[in-house]
Amino acid sequence: MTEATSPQIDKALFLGCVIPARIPFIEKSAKVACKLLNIHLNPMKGAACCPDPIGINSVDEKTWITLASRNVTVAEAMPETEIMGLCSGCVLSLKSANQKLKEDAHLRDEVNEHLIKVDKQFAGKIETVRHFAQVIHEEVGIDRLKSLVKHPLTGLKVAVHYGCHFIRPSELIGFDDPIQPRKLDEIVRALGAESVDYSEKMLCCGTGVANASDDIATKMNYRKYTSAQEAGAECFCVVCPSCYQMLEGGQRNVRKMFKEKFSFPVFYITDLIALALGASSEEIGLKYHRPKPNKLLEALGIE
Amino acid sequence: MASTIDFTFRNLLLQTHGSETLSYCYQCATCTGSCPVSKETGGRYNPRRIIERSLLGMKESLINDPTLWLCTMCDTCDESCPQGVVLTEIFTILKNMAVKAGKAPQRYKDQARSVWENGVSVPFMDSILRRRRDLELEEELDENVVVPVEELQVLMESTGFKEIVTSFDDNGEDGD
Ligand code: SF4
Ligand code: SF4
Repeated sequence: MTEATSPQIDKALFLGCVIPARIPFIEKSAKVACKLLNIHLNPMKGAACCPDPIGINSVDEKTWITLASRNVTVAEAMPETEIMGLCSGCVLSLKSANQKLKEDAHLRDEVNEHLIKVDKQFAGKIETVRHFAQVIHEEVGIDRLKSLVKHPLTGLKVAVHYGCHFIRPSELIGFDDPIQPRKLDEIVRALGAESVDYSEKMLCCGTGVANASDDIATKMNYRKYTSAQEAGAECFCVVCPSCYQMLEGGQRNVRKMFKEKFSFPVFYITDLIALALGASSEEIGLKYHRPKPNKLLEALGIE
Repeated sequence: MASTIDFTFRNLLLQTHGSETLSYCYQCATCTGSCPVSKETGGRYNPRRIIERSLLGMKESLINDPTLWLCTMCDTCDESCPQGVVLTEIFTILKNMAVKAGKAPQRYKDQARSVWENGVSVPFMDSILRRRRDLELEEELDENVVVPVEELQVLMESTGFKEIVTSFDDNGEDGD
């Protein structure tokens, strides 16, 4: 039942930029959670921008796939055979590169012609790229996760937010149902919390449209908060830093636009796992979340 | 309104890898029905219409259309289309073309410039470095997140990204 009995899982860790450079407390909770789960993380030194599968891909697809492939080659020079990311966007970029270059020799040659200029070549050695939560579901497994829980999150009413690229495009990600997913709910429930059913569960956080129109994103957020509130949710659980920032910041935007106040703390899945496995809120930097989750933690009896 | 039909453009789209599925579209509008942005804008944003105009080869109208950028890239339409049209791949090609014509919203330009200059979209700042120290993450910082900007710039020059970013300065025009 202790972490020592968990078999070691080895991953090359791709951190991306938003998490370490804007919300480092998520990096912290991920590292704490991985330690408790005996997931051994080897950082990808010299990795760079994933790059953003919306922002940079929309500007120039060739650059997007080339820079993403370069990141994969960084991991190819490491002993690990799999990459793990914490962000749905990073995983999408690296997984797209890894898969597309393996399947399409023409594309691989084209990208390698660029990469040779910096002494790199995509060789196709990385088996797969997975999101942290996918690793939890597929490699740790729901039963073992349950058995490791020291501090069940009993009574916590969570609005699970899948976001988009954690599950789509399903042909590439191949993890969960793209329209009616359930695996993140299973993880949340394994921790003892309740996953609340709300009508706008599958609505996008709006990051993509916010690049061109903040107002549309804010209206989408309003729709989402209203539906989560009606369903009795107390907080959100996310798996992507863009969703994290949108669903936190969106509450301020919604207050301005609709004169309505919501107060949902936003947890990353790594936070909930770390807490349920015995970490303290101080250790994983929950004081940096806005709104702060203090009341919810008190109710759970978590320091 | 620019409504010239450009067959070369249509054929170019059909031949570009990723957008072969364009010709499968039978205009059923399932995509628009599934689209959260279409719902939020009362249909002002309409993915079916973008596909239709792509099939008709209406290049100028498409790349000058600011609503092209309202897609939030959620991939719901791709998963819902009964014909297997990969709409987001087609939108990406259209947006790449619009960028070359100087028509990207400012935030896309800013992000592209940041990646060119810093090798990342989101560079570090002092307040975050302090926060990392508070969280006892500082010792990992140097080795993990030093970005090899020069190496990346070699690649970005090779793919033509530098040229794209530089062109933003020249026309300075905001397609938003
Ligand atoms: S759902 Fe597919 S077939 Fe129907 S209009 Fe949209 S792209 Fe065309
Ligand atoms: S990917 Fe774009 S067009 Fe398709 S459903 Fe999402 S927002 Fe709408």
